[in-house]
Amino acid sequence: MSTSTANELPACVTRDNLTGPYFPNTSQATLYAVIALCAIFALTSFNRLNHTDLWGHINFGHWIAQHRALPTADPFSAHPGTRPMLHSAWLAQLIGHEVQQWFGNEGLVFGHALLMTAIAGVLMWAVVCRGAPPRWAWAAGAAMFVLDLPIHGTIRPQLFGQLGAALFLLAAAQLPTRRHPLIWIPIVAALWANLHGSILMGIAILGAFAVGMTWNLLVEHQWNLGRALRDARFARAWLALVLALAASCINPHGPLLLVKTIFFGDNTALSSISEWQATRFSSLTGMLLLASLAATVALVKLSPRKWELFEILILAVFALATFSAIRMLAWWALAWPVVAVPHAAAAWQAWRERNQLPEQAPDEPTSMRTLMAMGVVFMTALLAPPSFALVSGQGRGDGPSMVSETPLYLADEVARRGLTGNIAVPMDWADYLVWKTDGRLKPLVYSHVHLADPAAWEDHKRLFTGDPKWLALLDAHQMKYVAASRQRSPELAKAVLLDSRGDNPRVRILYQDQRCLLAEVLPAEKAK
Amino acid sequence: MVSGERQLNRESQIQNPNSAVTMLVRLSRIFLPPLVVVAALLAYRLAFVSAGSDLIRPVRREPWTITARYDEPRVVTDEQLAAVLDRVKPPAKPLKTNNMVHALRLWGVAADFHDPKVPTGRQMREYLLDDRAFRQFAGDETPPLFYRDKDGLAVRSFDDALTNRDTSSYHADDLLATLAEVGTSLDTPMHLRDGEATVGQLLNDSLSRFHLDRLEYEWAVISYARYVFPEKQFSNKFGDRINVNLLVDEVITPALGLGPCNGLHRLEALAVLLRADEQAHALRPDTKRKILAFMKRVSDLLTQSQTSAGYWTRQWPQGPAAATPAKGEEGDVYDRILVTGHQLEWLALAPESVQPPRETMVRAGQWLARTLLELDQKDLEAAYGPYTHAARSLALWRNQDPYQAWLRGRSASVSLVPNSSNR
Repeated sequence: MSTSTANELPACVTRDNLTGPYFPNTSQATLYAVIALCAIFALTSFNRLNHTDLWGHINFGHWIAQHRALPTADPFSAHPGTRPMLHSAWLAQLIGHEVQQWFGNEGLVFGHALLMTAIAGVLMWAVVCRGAPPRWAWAAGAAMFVLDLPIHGTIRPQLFGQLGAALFLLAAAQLPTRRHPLIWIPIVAALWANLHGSILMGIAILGAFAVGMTWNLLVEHQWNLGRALRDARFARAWLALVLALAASCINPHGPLLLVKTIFFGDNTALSSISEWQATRFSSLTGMLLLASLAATVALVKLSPRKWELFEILILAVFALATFSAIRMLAWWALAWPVVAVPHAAAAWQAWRERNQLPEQAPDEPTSMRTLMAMGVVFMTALLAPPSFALVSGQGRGDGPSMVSETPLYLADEVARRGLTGNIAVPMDWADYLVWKTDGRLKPLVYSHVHLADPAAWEDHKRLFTGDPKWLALLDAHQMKYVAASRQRSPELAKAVLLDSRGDNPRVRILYQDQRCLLAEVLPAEKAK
Repeated sequence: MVSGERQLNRESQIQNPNSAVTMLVRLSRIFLPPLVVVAALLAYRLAFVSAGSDLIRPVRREPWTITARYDEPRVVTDEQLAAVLDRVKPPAKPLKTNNMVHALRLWGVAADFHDPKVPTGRQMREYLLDDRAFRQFAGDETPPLFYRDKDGLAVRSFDDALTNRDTSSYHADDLLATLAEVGTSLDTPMHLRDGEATVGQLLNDSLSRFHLDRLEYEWAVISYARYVFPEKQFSNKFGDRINVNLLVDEVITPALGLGPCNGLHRLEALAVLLRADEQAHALRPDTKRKILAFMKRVSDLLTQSQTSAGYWTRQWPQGPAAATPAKGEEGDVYDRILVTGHQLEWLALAPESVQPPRETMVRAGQWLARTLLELDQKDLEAAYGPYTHAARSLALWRNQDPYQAWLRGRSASVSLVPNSSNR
């Protein structure tokens, strides 16, 4: 053990008697990384399961598992639209369903935390491969976590896409010196194309890398194109892109998937969903984006490290994408740390040198740090709800593991009564009701709005915003039941309640609690 | 010397990349830390994690007995009380589970009116506990009051179907709360149409269905207070941990007047919980203060909103404005009895510190007694439930068991009227 390291630690820590051949030593950088990863795991696992499209995806996974095929039309809606299905996330949906079936809600929470931790881990590795000091690796994970704050609580197939993007960023960091990414890039691309419809983000990363590498080689070879083309790095960069493109065609739609995902956002129904709207600067997403852009400007000024074309390209592409749609923050949260952390480390080192601060002590591994890392892992396992459930063998149950907006009690009542048929229900409640009734209840619209019939979508909006012709709308769509939120659709809830108490009611209240009421729509002739 | 050689030998083995010792060292460095963490987690589980149970296990098998606090003859005299009680004997027809429940909680299990047309307390309790008794009253075709579903024992509720509503339970957990009120032990067997059960299972399965979004929670709180308290927490089937403080907040938070019977069962639930706590001493001081402050707030409003005649209307939460009700807000006699009877009932269990002036209670009690005696018998039977609350409240204010008070009144009238037994 070096004297300088020993001096930094108190005697009670250094006097360990642990060091020996059978017990590993851990560096400061690794300990920081373990702490960061454990923190990300624990903090992510405190998120409860979202009530919206998570259950929609699980429903699709359930359908695929049941039928051992992909649905050709929307199997859940009372009025499916005519747009053809896009199976860009079928594998993620199937995995989600299987995890839920085998491990319940805690399994989903665990999987979510594990994916976020894996993404952070890959990013940390990527920044080290890009030349940042290992002691700075933790900063990449932390930056990703902070930038991802507006969306990281939501479990979606997009998480697999984020892991794919992190792996492609790692590949871009390794390809200048290593060939092995050429083996695993096609595997990741093929999986990604079936896990989430964001494979184009990966293509963009590798495309930017190939362009940046070409530029670097041209500069390096003093604009001698022939020498640049003969450089192995040139071939590696473009081969990686070609392999990724080719492998991404292994999916139910083949090469068409890439085209379809480009035009996916054209659906008019999506324009009313907040995450598909342009980023507002007053939102958390907007503020994070602006803060990270400001930090980038500061780094441009402070970092002595050369800014590469690849870095400029991916920052520009993903910043513009995030300005255009909130949901694109997911990719900015990955790209920014990989670019910014090496520059931040360089700026820090330059500042230390300018101020003539002593050089940092070498990062000598010690056994005590291994013990500390084990303690951190142990505490994380006890603190994080899903791992504690695993340790104790006791899950938290549906209530504590799901967000409070989940229509838990309504779904329980619907299942108890064995209701089947069409139901008009708030869009974000519908997915869970479909899940709990195994598809026997068919909502007018659910959170996969891109699949909805446009007329049904418009009528759904009218119905839940207090249209006085609510009964006519229910009749027009042959709705057998209606469920309304007392808080969000007070006009509809009041109208339903008043009608049920009238002399000639068209609806019969089946269930009500402090948040919602559920009513059966009686046929007009029966009501008379 | 020998040990030094051994040490050297070992080090050379470690440095040899192909030796078994080197492999062991490598494997140990990889696997030892995770194995130690896993072992520590297993040890934690064995040492600190107790086997979970879905069952609610109250420490007591008998419900708390909640007795009245006061004996105030000015609220109602012995004669008035006996006369009022004589008018609210259990009606056999038309059969309504709601009437059975109200009659049972008023009269208790010991009541026997020696009239074949009037069910005894024991019969009324059997109506709830034994499906054979239920069918004797309701007929063989009537669906049972209790059934089993995937979550255990369930009660057929009013909203379950459009048919057989009269024989259904009218309010969530009202049957369980009534069984608790009449002192039914958790070990008491229940003979269902599809098997056997106990009241303890009914309690467990009812509370496991309870959640804090419920519209009607009053009887669940009463059941909890009587059976489960001083256990401060239970889990429902959704995994929500519900503790006594959450229950109190649930009762206190909504606007006054909201809930069944003008929201007054909320106050009854709090009064029962406070009374149980006087025996168990388990409520947190701040929770207790919260309950008392809420009761005092209501009590002050009652003093301000009492009409000159002595009754309260449904507008009592408005305070002084309700004392002289505007046209259309005065309510009918049914409403006035419902509100006044329920108010007197919870106040009879509430501590002195939250009581309105006694004069207020006397005026309310006297109005109630007079009105109940003046009511047409047919009207009285048509709204039997609320009127039993009124009668019960008067008995509570005299700290008398209604059945014993009725018996005393009956024997007094027999002794006053010669040869009355022949009438």
